[in-house]
Amino acid sequence: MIKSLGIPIQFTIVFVLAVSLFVYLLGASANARIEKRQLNSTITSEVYAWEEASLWICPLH
Amino acid sequence: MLGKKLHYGYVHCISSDISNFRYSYLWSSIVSQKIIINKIWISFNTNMVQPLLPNQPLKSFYPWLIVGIVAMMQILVSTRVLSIGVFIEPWETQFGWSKNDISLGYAISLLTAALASPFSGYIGDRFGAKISGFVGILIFFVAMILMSFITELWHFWLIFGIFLGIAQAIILVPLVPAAMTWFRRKLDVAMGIVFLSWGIGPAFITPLLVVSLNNFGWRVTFFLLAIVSTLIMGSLLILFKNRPSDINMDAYGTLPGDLPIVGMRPPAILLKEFNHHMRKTRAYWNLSSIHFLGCVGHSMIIVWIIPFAMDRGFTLMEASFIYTLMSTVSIVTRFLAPILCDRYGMRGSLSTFFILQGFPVLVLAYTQTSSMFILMAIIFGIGWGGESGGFPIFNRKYFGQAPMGSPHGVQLLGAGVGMALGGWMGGAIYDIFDSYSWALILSGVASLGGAFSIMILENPSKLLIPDWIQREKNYNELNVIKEL
Repeated sequence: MIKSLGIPIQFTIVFVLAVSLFVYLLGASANARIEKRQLNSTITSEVYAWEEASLWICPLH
Repeated sequence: MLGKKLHYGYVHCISSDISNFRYSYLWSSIVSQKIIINKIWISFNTNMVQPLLPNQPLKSFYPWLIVGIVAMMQILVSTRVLSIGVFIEPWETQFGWSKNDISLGYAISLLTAALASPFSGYIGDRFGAKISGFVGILIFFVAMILMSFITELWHFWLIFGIFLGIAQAIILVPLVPAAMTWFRRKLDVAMGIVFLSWGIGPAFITPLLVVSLNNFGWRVTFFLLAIVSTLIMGSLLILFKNRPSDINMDAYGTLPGDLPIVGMRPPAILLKEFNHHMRKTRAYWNLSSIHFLGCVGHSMIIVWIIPFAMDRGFTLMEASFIYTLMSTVSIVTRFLAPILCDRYGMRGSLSTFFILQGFPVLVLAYTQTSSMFILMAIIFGIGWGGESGGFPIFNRKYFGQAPMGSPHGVQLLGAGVGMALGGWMGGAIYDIFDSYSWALILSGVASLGGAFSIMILENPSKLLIPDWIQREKNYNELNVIKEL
């Protein structure tokens, strides 16, 4: 039985993929919302705290 | 515990009655009484686990009464989550909350219930589903009453999201493992009835809520729901028994050749030992990740199917009809899934349900015709209903009669996180791509990944951990000998 840190590899793969996808989608979603607001308004639009946090967490955004 | 009370109480009476006798006589008397009492205790245990006598027709009905109680409790507790849709419009109108604000409360509730599940499972194993149920009902009652007085959004998130999420876990998580202890055979039918309740509950209660909402408003509806649900659940829990030995009978389907179950509240030391055994198996972890994948797969669809169908040109009425069709089909497979898993092979049956859940979603991502859309929705309903039904059967095959609170709680943790994450992902993907196609692909891949994970699970033909019945019997015999 293949294990990493005492937990089966199959479980670890699902866990790591789910967390990675969550972080990526969070960042991408925040990025898309900010861009849409900027396109729709001429003045600098507000960036919400959760969007800033999401962009900070995601290494790809 | 009962044995110790009986034992020491009896010896104490004897010693006080004969206090004037010589010590040597007293000592020999106590020793002989100890032996007699231990024999009574062994005999009590042995009698307790005798197969059901034929002149006990009422008792033979009790396991099915337990199943009915568990099903009813599931309906009452889950209704407030599954029927949240009827409260959205009144809250939007009165408070100006957005759909996102309300759905966040829903997600918090799912996540809280999921995170509290492993703990609730342990509490259920250690103290019994009845005690945990009463504690949960108390929290449920207070929170539901408070819900009828909320005025701010954070009140809603705190009470609906956190308190009611905790109450849901404490009441519901220990119930399924407790119901499992009542069945040695026919567990598949029992679990089918329990899972059926998830599907039919909202169908019956939601219309009643709408009538109450239209006549009395949402505050009075929550107030009434608190009182009526608490009264019904409290009455049902009074009838509920944690295990068959509580009414001096054996589990349903026990045959003369079966090793008798001691049927006491599990000793903490044994519970710890068996939880350790379970955590060392692959199945303990993988069943949780499989439940997670299955729930990601269907939650993305059940949350977003109506906007997605409208995106493809269906009217709101038609989209609602498709959702109702899916839900109705799923009710049938909720009941059938545990039976099929038990009778036709667990890995094959459950992975088929996962494939039936995943494959039509991938087709939906590309189909343009209405008839194909409806056909795929029906096939998805078959898979969605059968997705969760096999897990108690897996638990029984892998872990035998051991207390199931811990694995069941961990599986519900995976399921709850999957439900919350899947529901959220659909919206996030739409924000990014202005389309649901990638959400559908992700949903299909999650379900098919779950199907693959099921196929590589351990062979369920033998127990993965030591036999609980044998170990519990040895433990009790050893304790009796130690006391002697």
